[in-house]
Amino acid sequence: MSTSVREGDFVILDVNGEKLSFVQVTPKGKARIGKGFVPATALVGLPYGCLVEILEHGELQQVARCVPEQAEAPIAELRSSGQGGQAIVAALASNSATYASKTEFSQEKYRRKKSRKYCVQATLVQPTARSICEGLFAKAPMKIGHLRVDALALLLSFADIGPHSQALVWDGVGGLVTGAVGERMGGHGDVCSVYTGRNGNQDSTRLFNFPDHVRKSIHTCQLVEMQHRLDTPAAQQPVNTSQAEQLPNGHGIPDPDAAQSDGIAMEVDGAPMPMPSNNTRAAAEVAPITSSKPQPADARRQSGTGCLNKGQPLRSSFTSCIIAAPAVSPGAAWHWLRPFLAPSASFAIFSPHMQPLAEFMQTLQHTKEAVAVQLHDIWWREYQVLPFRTHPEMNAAEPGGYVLAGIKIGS
Amino acid sequence: MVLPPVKPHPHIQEGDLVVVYERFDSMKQVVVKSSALFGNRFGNFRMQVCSYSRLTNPSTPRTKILYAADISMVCTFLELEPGSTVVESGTGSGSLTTSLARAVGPEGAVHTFEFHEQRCQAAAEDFRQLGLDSTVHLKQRDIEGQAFPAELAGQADAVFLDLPGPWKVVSSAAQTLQPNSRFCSFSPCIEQVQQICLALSGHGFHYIRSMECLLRPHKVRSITLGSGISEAHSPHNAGQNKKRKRNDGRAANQNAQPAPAKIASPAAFLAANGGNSSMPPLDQGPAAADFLSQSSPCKMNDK
Repeated sequence: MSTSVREGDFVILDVNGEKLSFVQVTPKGKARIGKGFVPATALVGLPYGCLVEILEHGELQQVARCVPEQAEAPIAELRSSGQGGQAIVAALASNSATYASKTEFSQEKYRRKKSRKYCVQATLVQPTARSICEGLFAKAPMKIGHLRVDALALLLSFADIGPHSQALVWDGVGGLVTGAVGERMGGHGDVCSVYTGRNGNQDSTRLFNFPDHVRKSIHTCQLVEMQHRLDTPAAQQPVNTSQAEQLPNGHGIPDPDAAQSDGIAMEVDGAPMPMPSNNTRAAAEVAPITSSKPQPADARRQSGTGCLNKGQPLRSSFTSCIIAAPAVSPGAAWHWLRPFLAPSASFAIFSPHMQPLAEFMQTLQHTKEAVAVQLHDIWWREYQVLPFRTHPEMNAAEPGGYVLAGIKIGS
Repeated sequence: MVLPPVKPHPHIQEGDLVVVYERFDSMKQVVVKSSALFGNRFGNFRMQVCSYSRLTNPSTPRTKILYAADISMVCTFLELEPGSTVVESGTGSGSLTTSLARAVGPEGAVHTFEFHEQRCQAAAEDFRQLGLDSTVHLKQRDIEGQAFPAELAGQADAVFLDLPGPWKVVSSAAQTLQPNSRFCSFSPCIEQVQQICLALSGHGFHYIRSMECLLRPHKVRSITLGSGISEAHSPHNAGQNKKRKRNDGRAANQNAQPAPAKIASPAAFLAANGGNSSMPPLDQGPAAADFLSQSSPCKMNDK
């Protein structure tokens, strides 16, 4: 993980702790902080976690954080230097006739209000599963199936994702889960992301700034191709996507991704998110595991890819499985993916609704295909913690969805 | 980098740690020895083939342990990835330590410190059995009194504290952490959380968030709902029936079903009132939290 911003990186801008926005550092990209714009390339070389603001003449400046208790001294310094929004806010406060008569709490509120107008600062947040999930959730929760960060965290835990897993993911939330799994595995072992329909829409996977060896460990595969490789080594079976209708059981799978095929309409502040011009970054469009695009042998060794490129059949080859496709019935997804799971594979299924998971849990109890099956609802609440002012955050009581987890057993 | 083979063997071998899943409320850890017997409620068995289920956290609780919700939140909010270095105190039962080790992998390191001698020895034995002794570096040390060792300064990508007085360690934790890295403290009481928050903001930490998380298990059973026609024919009652069905989240059926329908209905296992957005129960279940675990909020006027 790089500690400073590089060209081609995605960066999350946390503006005044109130708004999260994604920006990609490309020559043409622009980063918007409050009402001001700077070229995205101005971020290159800045350390992640630093605080920046746009000066009056449109230049990006890294600003020092001040410890709240000692806030007065840095503000005074800024005022004397005649630049920076904090200085303006301090000046406003000192010029205000009523400021001194306000209570401590309302003084703080006053400063916050003026800061929002005059002192727009942004923190450069490194994209990780946590920050990306929170950023996407804040932007458009419906586009990631209302998968909150606590639910994502649980999926990774329950499915036993870690280095040297072989992870099978059905990601119906735009690549967020695939990326999170890739991050947790760090290039050791394989992530295979299954999709149905024409395109796998895994756009969010690009947000992770993965190094090459991690990117190479992430594969996308159409479910039909997976079916072909269940018992057939890859080399012997030419993949033909037109066989989509000839699935087992004679019925096609509904295309849950089609509805979302416009992708996460993420904008870099007005401009549509451009594909990276840089070739290595463009490869974030993860490599398919079909035999038509063989990877160079050395790349395979580097990434430690196991079963997926060795031409072995895929039956019983995955030790972890996450299904986060709210539009797919859990029973149907299990029907397709179960043969690929090794005995003792851990699985976790997310849904924003309890009913489909409850029904599927009962099915599992009858078929006895899994043990340790648990259905949980997820509960998370943040608190404001201040001396004599501790209370739950007012907007943090939304239901977080449901997770069904268990362990597949051998037949 | 060449990594040790940690991929589990598909077949059970001598010396493996196996979790035997007997029924939904009973799991046992067994180290496989071909000469030994495995006894359970069904009798004594030779250690031959039994249904093999591998769990990642087979540690017996000796202290108050963190549960799945807390563990997952800690690993995600500490933004761990393979190769990270984590510093933890105290080790306790080691339930979190094993999950931290899983997240950082064999390339990473977990430095964990436990004050209590017996707990330290027991945890060391657990880590050895789980094959984690190359990743987990366990030492007996009073962190609140002695702080973190100086040689870890600037080494850690993340620090996790589960101590009675975590605020005493904040300055040491700040020295141990690299710039722009993560800190997490787990406390059962809001007063501890308050103290640690004050200490953190005084030591250059930003974006301090306090949170509580909880998992509520549900059980599922089938119930049969009648149409209500036989009990009362009045349209008023029929209307109520339809309304209840909609509230249950099932497809609204405009005509009252003449035949009873069999449905799967989730029943809240812990929550007394079964509401999805209700308060968690006060005294049962894993009422533990990432930073704090306080089920009843302080009644304060906001702002």
